[in-house]
Amino acid sequence: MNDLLQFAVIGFSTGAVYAVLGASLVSLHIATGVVNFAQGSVALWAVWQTAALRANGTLVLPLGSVALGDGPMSAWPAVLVGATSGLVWSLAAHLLVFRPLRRAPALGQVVASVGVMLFIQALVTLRFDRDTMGVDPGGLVPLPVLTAQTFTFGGATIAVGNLLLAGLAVAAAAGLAAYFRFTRTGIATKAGAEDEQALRLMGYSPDRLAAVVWGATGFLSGLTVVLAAPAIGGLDPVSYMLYVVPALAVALVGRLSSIGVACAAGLVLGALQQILLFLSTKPWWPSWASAGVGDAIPFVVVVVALFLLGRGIPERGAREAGALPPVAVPQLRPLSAAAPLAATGIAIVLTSGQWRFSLVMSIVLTLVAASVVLLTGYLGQISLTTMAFAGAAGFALSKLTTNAHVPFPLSILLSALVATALGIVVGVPALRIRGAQLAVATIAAALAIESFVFNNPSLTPYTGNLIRDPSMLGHSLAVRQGTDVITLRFSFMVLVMVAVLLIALARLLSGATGRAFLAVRSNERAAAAAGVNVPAVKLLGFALASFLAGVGGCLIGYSRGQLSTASFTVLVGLTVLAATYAGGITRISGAVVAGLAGPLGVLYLFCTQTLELGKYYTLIVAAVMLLRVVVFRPDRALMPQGAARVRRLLAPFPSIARRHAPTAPAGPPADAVHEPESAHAG
Amino acid sequence: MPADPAGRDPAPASVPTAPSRPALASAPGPAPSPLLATRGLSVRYGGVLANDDVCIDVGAGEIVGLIGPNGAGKTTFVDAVTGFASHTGTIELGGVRLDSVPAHRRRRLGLARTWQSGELFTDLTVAENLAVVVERAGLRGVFDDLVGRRRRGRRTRADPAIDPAIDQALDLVGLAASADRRPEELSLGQQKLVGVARALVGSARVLLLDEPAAGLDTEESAEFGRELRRIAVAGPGVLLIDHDMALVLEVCDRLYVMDFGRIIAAGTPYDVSRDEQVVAAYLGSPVTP
Repeated sequence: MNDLLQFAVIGFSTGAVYAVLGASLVSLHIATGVVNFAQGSVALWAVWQTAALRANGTLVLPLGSVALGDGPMSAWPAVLVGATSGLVWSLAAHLLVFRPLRRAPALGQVVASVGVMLFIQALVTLRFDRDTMGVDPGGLVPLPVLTAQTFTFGGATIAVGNLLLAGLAVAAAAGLAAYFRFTRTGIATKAGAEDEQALRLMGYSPDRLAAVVWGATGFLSGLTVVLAAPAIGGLDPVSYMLYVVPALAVALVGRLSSIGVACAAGLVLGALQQILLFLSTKPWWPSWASAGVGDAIPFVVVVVALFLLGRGIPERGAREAGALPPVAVPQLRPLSAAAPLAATGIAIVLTSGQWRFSLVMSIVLTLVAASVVLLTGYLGQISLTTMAFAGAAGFALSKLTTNAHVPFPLSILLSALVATALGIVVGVPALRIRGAQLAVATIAAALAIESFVFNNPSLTPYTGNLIRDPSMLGHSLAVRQGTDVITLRFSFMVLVMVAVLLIALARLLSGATGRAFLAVRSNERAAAAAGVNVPAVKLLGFALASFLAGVGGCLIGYSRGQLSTASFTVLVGLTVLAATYAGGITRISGAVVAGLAGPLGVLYLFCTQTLELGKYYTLIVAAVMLLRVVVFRPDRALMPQGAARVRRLLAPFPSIARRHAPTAPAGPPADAVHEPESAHAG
Repeated sequence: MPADPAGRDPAPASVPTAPSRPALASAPGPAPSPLLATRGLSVRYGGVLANDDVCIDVGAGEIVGLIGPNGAGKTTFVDAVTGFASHTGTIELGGVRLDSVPAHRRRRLGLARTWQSGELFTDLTVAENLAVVVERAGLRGVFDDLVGRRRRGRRTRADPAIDPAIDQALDLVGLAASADRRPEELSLGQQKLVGVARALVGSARVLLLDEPAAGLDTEESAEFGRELRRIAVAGPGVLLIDHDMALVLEVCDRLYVMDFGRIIAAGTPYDVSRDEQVVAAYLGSPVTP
């Protein structure tokens, strides 16, 4: 019992982070309707900024840096400057990204916040290095700020610092809640999220009101994480960014509307994780479940919370999802499919070594991105689990080929079916939730799979998850042969397999399945009223998408000879989604762009080899994606009027008109009305 | 509210059946057991009783009007019947209980509806909007799509062969020429008609039309009424909700009047339009059909 109390209090340090990030997410959602995946990244920058100040007094800016003194800065000023950097980032995100997107569809906002999240994270790794910090950042730890005193209570040793953190979390949440409840501006902010026009007429500026909340949440998130970092440990360039996942979970427990509930849930979740961590060291705890428990809990919390608050079919008056990017239905013509195929084949023959390897990686990534096109572009389900499905299939492939000696083509099929089963399980929450909330559930699932399966030492032998080289009819299809890092045989095997699957996908998307997907995407209620079994269609979409991603994961696995968990992290999954959205998430050609631009693809090699910009790769992808989302919005037709006119002119020539009709972009009229309103943003 | 004659009466038998129809004597009367029958249907939204003990019958080939002021609960009734609002009481279609059947299955059993706001699939062409009803997505659909066993006559963008049922439905609402256009290129009235065609296609037995004529001008509305007659003659029962009294009184065989979630009057258009309660609650002054 004493132990439990002791560990619960230890958990308050992470719990405070969850609580404040969660309360911030709820506040932002109340004020702007945005679910901000970048909340953790903002805090991540603050932690590093504080560390830099305390290392050598340098204020690190995205470009350049300023020395704020001769040597290390003292604790509290550094903390304040660090927290303020969180405020600045948060405001910048509001002004540059979210304000222009305030009427964008949920998908656009989710992708934008993922873009901000990746952008800041990539900038952290670039900017906080030996040059700016004076020391090797790998050896740094966050220096303590809060008191290290402890006292004993009922036999448990309690750290005062942890109690202070919990107190800070409660105070921050109380402050935010009081702002929305008792102040005029807070109430106006709440009203503005519901009816911006009415608020303008009352003489308030919705942008300014939103800016207050963005700034306050950025500061509080930064402050809390900076103060909690020494207790949590570690100063690495990723972890705090991903603290947004449990924070999103607790925000959902608060139904994205109760700051108090989110704060309480955050503290409880932190305590619970520590207690489970403690219990998992007990001899009776099953060894297979000893790793990743902490990351699995948020997913369970999310699923339970969402199932309780979600609805099977949106009711009357439910918020409209907003316009989505127009769809280009693939039209299979033998020539248009054969030409790129032949070109890729020639490129494979002409290249060798690293270049051929990244070309093949691009081909595989095209397949993975195509699964995003199917699930998110066509069916409208925002899933951030794609790479986890791929990784799960790779994991299954390793077990099937090394333990069960399943032969080559069958091994891929079975492994992809494992991913399919997993996809159906992860798709279940989608039956009751949609939009940004589904994105939260799927990123929690991805994190759970990553830490529970890929990084679970009891599931992975010391030698790693090896994968036996494929062979068929006595011919080896192995990726390596002698000094050749990638053989022609292997490359063509990948090309053929991906081409067959993409052609099959094009047939699906242009057929009854694609129409049912689009019907569900555009209007679930009307789809049900048209006799479409919406839950079944959603699960079908998840099954097909995870199958495609699973095959991709197997091909990645075969290309490495083992399961490399680094290929399937949540971060890689987010990058793939970002690249697909930037390439065009509603068309297969967008998947090709994503394949070329995706991690370890051709563009990546070009960045590293030719431009020597490899370390800027994530930053470039995130920036391009943000530009695409904010400035060249895919949900907005470029010139709907012109397209309609072209079609009218072509009307006397039905054969041409028909060819132009499906591809011509035509935004809904409602969108055109908003055009002048947000034109200044672009 | 004074006690009403029909809606509050617990005995469903008191709901008027066998209407007299002087104007349209040739049209078939309602079957002895109606195609669609609700008994004691109630819907509660929070503290509001949006539908209170509603009993409505629709027979095959019959056009039944449901009228009432805004907020009376007419759309709620359609939502409940088609599976979009949880309710108490019973719903039967051709003698089959539908109370716990999900919405999409009710549609496949032949209970089709339109929406006040159109609710078309904006990413699909007009013909594809109808194709979604005719086709069945699922593993079977995936198989058909993949191996190209497209049943003859199925419309796809690449292969514009026309499913006769789709064309027939579009013909009935006069939109066959717009089959390949996007919904947003059509006028609001035409979009409503696409909704009607989408409800018609695929063996609908009862159509629940929620203000299909809103957005049509007087001439179009009269034309729509004639189309509705042609549709009903072909077999399906129709429940028509509309505020266009000229249309309603012209085409309906029987009328139900709803106010505050209850049926306050029922009968032939002639009788209902002279009912004092109805005049007070909705019509304002007696209307001649």
